[in-house]
Amino acid sequence: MHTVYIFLTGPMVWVSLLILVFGLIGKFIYLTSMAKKRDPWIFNYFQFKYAIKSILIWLVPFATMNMRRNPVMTVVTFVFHICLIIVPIFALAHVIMWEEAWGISWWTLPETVAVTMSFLVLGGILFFIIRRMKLPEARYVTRVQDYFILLIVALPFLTGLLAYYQIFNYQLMIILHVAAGHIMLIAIPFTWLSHLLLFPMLRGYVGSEFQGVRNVKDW
Amino acid sequence: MPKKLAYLMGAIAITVFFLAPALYSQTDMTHVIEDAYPSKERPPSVFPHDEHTYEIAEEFDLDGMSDCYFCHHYDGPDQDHMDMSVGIPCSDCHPVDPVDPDVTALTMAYHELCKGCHIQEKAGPIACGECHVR
Ligand code: HEC
Ligand code: HEC
Ligand code: HEC
Ligand code: HEC
Repeated sequence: MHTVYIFLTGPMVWVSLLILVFGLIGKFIYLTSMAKKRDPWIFNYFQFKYAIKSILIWLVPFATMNMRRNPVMTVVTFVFHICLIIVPIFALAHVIMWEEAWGISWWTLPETVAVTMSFLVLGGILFFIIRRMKLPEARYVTRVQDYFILLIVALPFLTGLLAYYQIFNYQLMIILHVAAGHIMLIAIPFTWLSHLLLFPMLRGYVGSEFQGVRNVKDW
Repeated sequence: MPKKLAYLMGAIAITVFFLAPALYSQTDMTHVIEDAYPSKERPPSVFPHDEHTYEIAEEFDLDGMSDCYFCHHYDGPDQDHMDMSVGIPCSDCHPVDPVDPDVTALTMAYHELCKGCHIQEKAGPIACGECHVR
């Protein structure tokens, strides 16, 4: 218990963060070199102005046509992503551990809020699963990997809640929780979870082409 | 008279019987009940106080821990002098939100002291829920 916990909350954090950062950098380099081959003109008409505008607009709920067309999906998606990103960064226990390790700390969520947000993440995942199973157009493009990714994202939150409430064996649960977090971080560059990088790249690409070349909105 | 004397001696015996453990132990605390926090996020930490100063100190050969100033220090740890602060709560010197950045905050003070040793000894709780048991 001691050795495993100390390894997972110590050296392994470096391993996961390095894989995450260098994995994403590698992915970025790979994608831009692909673009150079397939669509080299993008580098001529790419403009930060349009890229940023497109990214920002797509980050505002209901700002795009697509979002207005699917209001339920839009609400669930936004709530899900906000909770997914905020909880790990501002969870009290996480910040305490940063502080103990590096002496740096920042604002934290009240525990009840963090717990509620974790339930919202799990609720969102449940919604996505049901949607993929029930909606014909979603079912048609769903592969097994898509469920697998939802599982990878669900596990840190599920085990986090079980550890928080100390349900089942706490020592096992806290180890599973930390391990699940590492799996998710490491999975990001190699799965669809890398859309955290692909999203701004795609918006920059499409935004520059639509706003700059075709002179139409891309939202 | 002998009857009264017997009662008196009986009473003394009973008193001594119940007081003796209290004289030997510093406190019968099982948890750190810290009331310096305006509001608490976690259940109080388990802390068998006397087990630490006696059994655990002995079993793990932690000579320092049977000295009260090991935890109840006055000028911080690793000091040459052995002034004790037994009776002064940690929170008197370690505020929850210290203004002076050189002063260790209360939660960190507890965590550093408790967890630090457990990690070093490879024994004792180190994950949140092992101490803050619900
Ligand atoms: C492993 C660290 C540690 C050691 C060693 C230690 N104590 Fe404590 N003691 C604590 C903590 C933590 C508290 C709770 C502090 C607080 O409430 O501010 C405490 C509280 C106390 C209290 C108040 C108890 C109460 O019920 O409120 C007394 C009295 C006390 N200790 C006596 C002693 C004596 C005497 C010794 C030496 C034999 C000793 N302690 C050694 C950690 C320690
Ligand atoms: C009479 C004042 C006083 C009391 C009471 C006191 N401390 Fe301290 N403590 C200090 C001073 C002074 C320092 C050094 C400055 C600092 O780090 O805050 C210190 C430092 C520490 C440190 C930092 C160690 C490091 O290496 O940085 C820890 C941990 C700590 N105390 C824990 C405790 C705990 C737990 C208690 C209660 C059992 C306690 N202290 C009670 C005065 C006190
Ligand atoms: C100098 C070393 C040291 C310090 C300081 C220390 N501990 Fe411990 N503690 C131990 C060791 C060693 C054990 C393991 C005992 C065992 O496994 O038999 C232990 C065990 C425990 C246990 C489990 C007890 C049990 O019966 O299973 C708890 C709870 C605990 N410590 C809480 C605390 C808290 C809270 C503090 C801080 C106020 C603290 N300890 C400070 C060395 C320390
Ligand atoms: C070795 C035992 C130990 C471990 C492990 C430990 N704590 Fe604590 N913690 C304490 C003690 C002792 C206090 C003092 C007050 C108390 O008992 O609640 C404390 C105080 C706190 C406080 C401030 C009081 C409150 O409830 O708001 C928080 C928050 C806290 N701990 C969270 C955590 C988190 C999160 C973790 C895991 C990252 C953790 N602790 C791990 C012993 C421990």
